[in-house]
Amino acid sequence: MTILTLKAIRKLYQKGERSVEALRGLDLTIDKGEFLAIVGPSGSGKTTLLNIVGCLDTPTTGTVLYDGTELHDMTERELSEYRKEKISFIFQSYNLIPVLTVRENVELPLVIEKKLGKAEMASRAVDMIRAVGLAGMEDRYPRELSGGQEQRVAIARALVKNPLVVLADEPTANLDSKMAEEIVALMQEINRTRETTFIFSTHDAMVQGHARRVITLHDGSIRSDERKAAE
Amino acid sequence: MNTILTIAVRNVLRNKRRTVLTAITMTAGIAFFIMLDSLFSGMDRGAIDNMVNLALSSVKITTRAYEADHEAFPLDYGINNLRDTEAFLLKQKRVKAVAPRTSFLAQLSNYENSLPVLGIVVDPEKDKRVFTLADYTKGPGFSSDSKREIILGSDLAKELGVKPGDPITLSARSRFDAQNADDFTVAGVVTTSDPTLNKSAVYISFEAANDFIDLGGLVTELDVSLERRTNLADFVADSRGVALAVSTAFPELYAQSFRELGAGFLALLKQKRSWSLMIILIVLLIAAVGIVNTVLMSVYERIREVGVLRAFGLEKAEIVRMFLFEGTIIGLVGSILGVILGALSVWYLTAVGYPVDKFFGNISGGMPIWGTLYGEWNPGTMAFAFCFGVATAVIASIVPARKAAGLEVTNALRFV
Repeated sequence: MTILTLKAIRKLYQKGERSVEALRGLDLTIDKGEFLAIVGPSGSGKTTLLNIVGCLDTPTTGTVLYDGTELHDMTERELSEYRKEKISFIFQSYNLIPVLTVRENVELPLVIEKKLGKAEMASRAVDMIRAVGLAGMEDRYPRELSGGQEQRVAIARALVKNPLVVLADEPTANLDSKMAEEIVALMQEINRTRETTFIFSTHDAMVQGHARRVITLHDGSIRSDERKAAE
Repeated sequence: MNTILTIAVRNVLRNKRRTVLTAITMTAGIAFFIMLDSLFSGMDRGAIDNMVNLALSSVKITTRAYEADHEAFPLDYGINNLRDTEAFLLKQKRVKAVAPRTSFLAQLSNYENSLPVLGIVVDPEKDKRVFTLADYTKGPGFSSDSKREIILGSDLAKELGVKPGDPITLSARSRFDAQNADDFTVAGVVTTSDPTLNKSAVYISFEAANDFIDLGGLVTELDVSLERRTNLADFVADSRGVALAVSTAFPELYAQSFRELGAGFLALLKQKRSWSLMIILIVLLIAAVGIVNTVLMSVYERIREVGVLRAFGLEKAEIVRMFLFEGTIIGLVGSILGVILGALSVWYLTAVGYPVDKFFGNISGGMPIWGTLYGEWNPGTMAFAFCFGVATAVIASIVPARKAAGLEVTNALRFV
């Protein structure tokens, strides 16, 4: 089932008097449950594409269809509302809120969403913390965790609201190889068991190796789109 | 607790040193303002009490005819129905006492030098119920036989080289325009905080004046003493009420309340109030700059955090709210501590006082006050300073809070 369709996406940035075309008429379709890596050299348009897919930015021209909803004419506030419900993020530097405990960090998307009661939010956060292997660490603060544990918390935070899509920007870039393997394995497991769609940008060959689909960008265009047979 | 509020509170606690330094600025500003206001109020009230107790009284009653020519201190227009007027006054609310007085122009001489003076005829017994001159008089004061006794201002005594017990000559025109001179004995020297009294006042009794200037019991003014009220505005209102009652009951009389009697000083007070308001504005402006700086630093340190919150869908208004909370918490802490510190300083000023003469010597030439200056409790000022402090903190946080909310999510997330 297709959850995201990008049609003829162009993105122009104005840098002084110079116009830079970050994405050049890009077409892309993504199905539910994909485990997709976007790769390419720096400046190829990976981050711009992730920003548009994540509703953090809008294309200059082209159409974004999310789960049948056209996003092109949405205001910033409407995009924010859409993000709140459907999209989650995992960042390279984890970006946990340092003054909140593990449980509070994981609860945060639910608090922002304002749909559940306090008890249910706490229960879902604790379940998610357990799912990422951090049971017993609910009351710790980010500064008391290792990098790998922080990224697990970030994954739990991304998944707690059952999003349509999880976008991960270089999720293993700050981790050692062993920790990176563990994090990718965890994302794969969640992708398999929950059918959550993962889209991540990466330079890491190991991460690319685990992706079932790898899209290579070059100069704002798709150079290749490789699909692997299910493992 | 709401998560946004939790983030705000914990961030304030996380940066303890910065929070404390910012709050201290606010605390110091508010405490300083409260203390200064108490001191100013005490000074003002002390000055007003002195003016009332030494010369002006709370309500002064003369005749309309006298008032038209009052600068010449004429002896032509006495209060006719004196007994009725006194009785009427004593029935008025908050009136404590009434004293008759008659002023006249005279010359005082030590046989070598002669100085122009203002003679004030008093009824010693009644006068001490309205005025507190006795408290400032050196010497025995008026005796039961006061026909040849005189009390004079300290500067006059100094200039003429006389002290209690010395003889002195007073000359003046009588009520019937005959020049008269008589010898008196100095019964007292009065030193007040009012330089005019020290330089030119000479007091004699009605008993003496009846002989000396053929006064025949003529009273040109009645001075009224009212119960002391803590609040100055209440006192002025009482005074106006009595003056109005007298003017209505006795149309030929001219009654001046303290609003007219102390008009110049009250106008000065108003001006001084705006100065003290300026002080709080300046001090709190400094505190506001501190808060803007603190919240801006907080925003700058947490740009990525703002990006994450916005990426997860937190609305701009809630980002603003979060940073406003931080500024408000600092403002609240600073203002509460400021009011506590201010109240402690006011307590000290009201209980112990500030020895003006010890630090500045006799300042009677400037303000009509001296000795120990006591502060005044003013809960209104404390409430105002507290509200003003918190409001300043909230307003000062708006700019950085809006700056945080206005960040582009993509830029905020890229920020390192």
